[in-house]
Amino acid sequence: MAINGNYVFRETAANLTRNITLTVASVLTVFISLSIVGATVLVRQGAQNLTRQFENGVEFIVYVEPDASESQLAEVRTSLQDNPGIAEATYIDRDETYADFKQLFKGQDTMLENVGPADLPTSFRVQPKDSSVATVQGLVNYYRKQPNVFEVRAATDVIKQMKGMTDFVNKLLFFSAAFLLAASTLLILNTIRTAMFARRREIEVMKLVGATNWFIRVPFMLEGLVQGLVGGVLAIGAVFLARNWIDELLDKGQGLELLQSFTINSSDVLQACLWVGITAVVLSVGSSLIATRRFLDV
Amino acid sequence: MIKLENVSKVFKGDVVALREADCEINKGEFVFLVGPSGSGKSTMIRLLNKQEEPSSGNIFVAGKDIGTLNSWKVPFLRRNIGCVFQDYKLLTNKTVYENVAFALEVIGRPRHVIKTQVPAILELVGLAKKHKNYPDELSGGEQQRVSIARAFVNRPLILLADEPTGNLDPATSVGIMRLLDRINRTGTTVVMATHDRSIVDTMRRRVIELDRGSIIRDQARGVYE
Repeated sequence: MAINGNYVFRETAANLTRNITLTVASVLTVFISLSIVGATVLVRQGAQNLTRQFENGVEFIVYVEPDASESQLAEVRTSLQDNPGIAEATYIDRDETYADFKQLFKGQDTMLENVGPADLPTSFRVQPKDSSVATVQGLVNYYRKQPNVFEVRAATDVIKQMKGMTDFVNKLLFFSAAFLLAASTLLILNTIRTAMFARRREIEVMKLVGATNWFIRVPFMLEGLVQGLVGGVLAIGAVFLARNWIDELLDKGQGLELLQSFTINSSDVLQACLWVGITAVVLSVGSSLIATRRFLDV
Repeated sequence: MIKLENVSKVFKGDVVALREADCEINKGEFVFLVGPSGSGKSTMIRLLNKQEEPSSGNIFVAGKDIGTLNSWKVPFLRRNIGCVFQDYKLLTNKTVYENVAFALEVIGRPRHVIKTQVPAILELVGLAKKHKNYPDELSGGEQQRVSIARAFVNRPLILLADEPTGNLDPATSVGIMRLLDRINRTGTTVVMATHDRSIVDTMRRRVIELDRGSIIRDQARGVYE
């Protein structure tokens, strides 16, 4: 059976405008929840990029106790060199450390006046063989417990912190998105039910003269789809805005070196938009199907 | 055209609306269903276009067992069955023309068909001049004519009428009956449930009388009682 395009368009438009407050409410809820879906994807991708950057070339620094004797230093050195998980350990002596220190605190004269080469711990710059976060973290924990080791510094600590934070934010976003998606589904469902209820006499006549269920259903389903898609398009816009906003935020925070690695590239944005789009379609078609099903029982 | 075999309909709470009904209605017949309220007339009509399912027994319409009909085929069955009700069931936000055209539009008839069929049927029911009016601007008799036009515009094989004159005065009812008679003479089978004694007695058509769900009389050229 040919479905008259003109008829479908007219009916869908009438449905959408008849109950404008409900329509706007569902579009806005869809928009907010899908924006959060987009944000969840962006944060996840950003966090992934962040850890990936640190996956390669991770080294850590083992600081030796400042008052360690030569033999104690040699012990640490042997332990590092004999460790099968370590590719290379370079010793940084007092003078070199002091040079670095001077570089780091350039301009801060009180600091430079009060600290001499003897006050600084010497250190080993260690290059592990396997540079995955987990392995490096294992080595770091091991050397922390060794005698004569003053402190072990590794980027993995910060990465772990960052990961913990982004994981938390991600969970928060995920649950908010889940709840809001449920709310949008129910709102779309309710909007369509209301539209069908308002037109129950027409639907009754349509069934009596032999209109097929799909013919009756299509305008209502399109109504739901339009609501979902408008919300989705707004959410995609929000994702692009959010990307610019994050970029700006990162530019301002130059000092936070680690945050610089929290990058979001175009493919991430595209992926977020794709997810938003798919969710919009599934959500609206699903809720429309449920909403129209019960009403059409003869 | 229509055949009921041992058809019963029991509603929830053991309310028997129809009890082992057997009857056969041929193509082109005009049949009155008579009996007091609650005797099963409306149920019988609602069973014929599958608005209700029988509790037991078989119903054949146009040679098909409608009990075994797939649910997606029901709309196509209904395209062969026009329906007229006591309360007209017109759409108040549509004009006379739009109400009739709606019936064709929603079964996917092309626009040029609608443009020729609707004026023709409005001419037949005598409402050509009122095609732009809304239902609440019409008298009861006129509204029922619109309803008949809508039921007949698709040229169905069967016309079911559930107390079509129930809300009308005797003079208006006569006009409606003339119209139904005309439709019947085009070959359409008409099944009409009614309480109206004088109509049944003047028309002298086949009468099926129901009492508490059972067919107690089936008489050709019958009277109300």
